[in-house]
Amino acid sequence: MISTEHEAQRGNEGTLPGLEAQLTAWGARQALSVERAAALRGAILSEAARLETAPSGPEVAPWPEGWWARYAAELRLVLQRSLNLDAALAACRPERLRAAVGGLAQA
Amino acid sequence: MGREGVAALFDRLYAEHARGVHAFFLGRTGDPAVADELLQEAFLRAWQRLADVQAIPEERQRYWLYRVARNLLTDHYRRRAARPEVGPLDMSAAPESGLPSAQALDLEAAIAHLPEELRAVLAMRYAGGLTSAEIGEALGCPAGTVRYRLAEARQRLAEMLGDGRLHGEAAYVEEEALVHDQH
Repeated sequence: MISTEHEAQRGNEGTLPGLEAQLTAWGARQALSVERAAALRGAILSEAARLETAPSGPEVAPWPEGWWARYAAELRLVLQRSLNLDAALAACRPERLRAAVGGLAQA
Repeated sequence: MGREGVAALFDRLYAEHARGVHAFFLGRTGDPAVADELLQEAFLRAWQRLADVQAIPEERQRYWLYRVARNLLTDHYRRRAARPEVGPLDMSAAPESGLPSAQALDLEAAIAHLPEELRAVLAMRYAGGLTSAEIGEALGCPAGTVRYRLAEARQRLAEMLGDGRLHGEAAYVEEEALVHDQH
């Protein structure tokens, strides 16, 4: 294993003077700056805090007018046919209906 | 793990690895904005799994973090494949890059034409400041393989830049790397 010092020395000693210097300058331009790293760290921690305080599970928006009655009727129909809650839920495509019923089942 | 312990572990991980992980994403994607975005995702996942990270021996935490990074990259490519192509690689678009010289632009264009795995080790070495051993630990390959890829990258750059003198020296570095691998 080559040590860090050895690698740095190899670059500095001029094994590849032209290209090595250009690559070093390129790396310095591309590198994550201290300021940028600090800004990104702040954004990460903000997002982590937001996620920790956000309610768990899928967000359930208020029902648009008429939706509940329509899907409740559909759910009732499937239940009557199969008496199988899983099949009934699978038949209800809107995610939020499934989420709402799933939430009720866990409650 | 207490709140302070969590924060301290995250701070250490971020301080030690943010630059390298960013360089990895930059080298693989060639896009500074995407590298920033993926860096945030990687460390957000690390934050959410700090209890798991703490249970990993410190010398293996780098590998764990880069495994998360590789998975995120795979997800990124899947998402990108589902969208129309937005444009070519632009390694000169780093916000802190200033106004590079014509020579620097030539180098950046040449780097953008390297295969991803060569560009990644090059970025991790020069933008991330990692040694071959550290890059090897991160990517799960021997340090000798990393040195070989670095030498290959230099040689291809020298060829693309059309400088015969550099070409010869690059070949010398490759031979030197192979000699080191044998010891």
